Amino acid sequence: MRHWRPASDHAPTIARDQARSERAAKLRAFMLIAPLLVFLLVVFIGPVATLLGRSVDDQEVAAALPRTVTALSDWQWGTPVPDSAYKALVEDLREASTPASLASAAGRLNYALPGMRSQLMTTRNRLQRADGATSDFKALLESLSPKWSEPESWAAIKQASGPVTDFYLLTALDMKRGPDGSITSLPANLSAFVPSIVTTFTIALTVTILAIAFGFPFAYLMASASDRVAGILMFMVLLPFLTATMVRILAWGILLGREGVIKSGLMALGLSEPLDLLYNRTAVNIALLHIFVPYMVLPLYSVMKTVPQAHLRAAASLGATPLTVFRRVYLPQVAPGLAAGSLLVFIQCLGVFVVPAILGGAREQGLPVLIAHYVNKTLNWGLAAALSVILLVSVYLLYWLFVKLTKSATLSLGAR
Amino acid sequence: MKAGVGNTSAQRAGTIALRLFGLLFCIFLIGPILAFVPMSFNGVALLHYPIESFSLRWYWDLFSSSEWRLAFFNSVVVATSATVLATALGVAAAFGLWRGRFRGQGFIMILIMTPMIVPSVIGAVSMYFSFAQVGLHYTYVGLILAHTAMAAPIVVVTVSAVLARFDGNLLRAAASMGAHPLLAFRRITLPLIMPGVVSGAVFAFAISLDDVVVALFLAGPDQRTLPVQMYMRSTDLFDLATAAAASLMFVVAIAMMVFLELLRRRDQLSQKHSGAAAGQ
Repeated sequence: MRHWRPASDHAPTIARDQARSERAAKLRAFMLIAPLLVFLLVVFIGPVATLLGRSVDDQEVAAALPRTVTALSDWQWGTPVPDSAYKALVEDLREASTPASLASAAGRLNYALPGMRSQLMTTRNRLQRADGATSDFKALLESLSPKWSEPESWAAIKQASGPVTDFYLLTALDMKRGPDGSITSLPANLSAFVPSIVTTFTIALTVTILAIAFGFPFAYLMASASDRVAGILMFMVLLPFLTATMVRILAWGILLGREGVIKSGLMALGLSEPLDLLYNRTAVNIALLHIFVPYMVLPLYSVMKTVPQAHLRAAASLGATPLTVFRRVYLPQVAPGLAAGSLLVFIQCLGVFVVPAILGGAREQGLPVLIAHYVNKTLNWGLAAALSVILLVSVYLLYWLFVKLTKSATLSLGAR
Repeated sequence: MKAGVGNTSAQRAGTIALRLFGLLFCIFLIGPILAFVPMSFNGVALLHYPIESFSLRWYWDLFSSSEWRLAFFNSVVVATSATVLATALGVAAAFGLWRGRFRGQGFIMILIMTPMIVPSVIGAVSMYFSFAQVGLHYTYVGLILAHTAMAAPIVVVTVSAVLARFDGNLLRAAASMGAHPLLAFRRITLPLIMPGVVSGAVFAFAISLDDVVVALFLAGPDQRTLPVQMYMRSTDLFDLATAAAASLMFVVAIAMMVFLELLRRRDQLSQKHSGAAAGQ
């Protein structure tokens, strides 16, 4: 028994050594990945997460009007506004040390209830000049701005008291909370964002269908051609693919433009109708098809190459009609490429910004253009973030589908 | 060969229709760009065919404009720096992913792919907001970092594809003869995966050169790249200096294309060669 001990001790030592060296190898391998991961987390993923966080972030009002927010915390819609809230608001406005924080709070409240910005700022300015010796704060506020007698103003402050809100996300879906907290959809004539979401998805779907309609036969032609012809066709696909998108957009802009080649061609044919080829849905669809069709052709081509012609001939010799051969034998085998290509095109189309901005009219401006608008023009970061959440959730749902279907997280095109 | 299938006249008609479609689609793919390029040689400022007089005046306009010259300079500086950084980070990560078979590798890959999945507008707005907090917006450094993040995933993808064909036993052999892992990487792995590394770098360069949206947000007036300058000028579709710039970018695309094709051929040669060597 005794002399077995060292031996039985020895075996685990080897196993432990091996495990340790494997761990060390894994650690070394991970140290190679770490720089890129850390870099992406700091430069890209972190900033995106921060932006998305802004869609629910709601601290401006609580920072500028802390007493009012506290005083309103127990107030229920339908009951009279507590006197303490009037007193708190007067104190908050008198002591608003940094006008900047008050201004951003006023801006935030103005999104929820138009008119709140001027109501708040006017009240503050008049309060500075008003006599401080009063105990009836309700009367004081209502004399400075009659709107303080309306409970809606107070409800807006209460709903914006943070620290998180669903206000921006609801707005991005054309919904709003009433003063009593119930969620209602805006009537169709007032809806601002759902039509843009619909536009984004309609364009993406149209272009995906077009890409299948044109990309499928083209990929089939490539797969069934001789190596030499296939090489030329591949060149035709890859050259525009590597040409800067901006060049391709401008090329279409000039081709379809008022003085463009296609237009003058149509004029020469006697079709001198002043049909506008630019700034409409057709122009956007055509340009997007041109830009994204390689994402359909390349994965399709790489699966079509692997389908044995013998299968098709065997099916045909057994009496299957060409349609049956296609539907029952060919399509199931190329389906993975078709799914990958469709998802790639669809995902890319959801994010397009420059094409609709240059070639599209007002009706072609989807979510990405709106996001840029709210950042550039109105500085409404909360709403830009909420629209980004909607866009990103859609994109990642499709990407998740892509990963499930292709069993690969990489967006490789199936061809080098 | 394939004619054996298409023996009926209906099938032959189908084949001809398919070829005709292929031809037309090739025109659709290449035509707009090929129609665009000659316009930059037009002597008059009209986008009409036929070109009335041949002239290089738009190219002269382009190179005499300080705005366009700056845009050229910026594009070259930003794309080159981002390519170098993205290639270094991407090759290391791809090698690490190939070496260690981790449990969470799928998740790591999803993280690495983020800049390719997230729509560029969201990336641009996010980086603009975060970079502004630390004063990196409207700087070369900020723009280069952003383009590096956007270009790194394609390097990982391309290099992983070649590494999948790389024989790990070569590294074991090197280690058994006492080579330091770094030496083995430099002398054995790197030369063999070089075609993948270089084509990854070309794709990274193309991504940086292609970007409009991120540069639109992150570049100040001094960092405007070529595509941004073209975007700014796109409201004026009749400015043929833009067409001249576009033609130059098209030439760059052809150069990249030829370069990639040469790489692919070299790669095949080396495969055939090593295959023959193994057979001996």
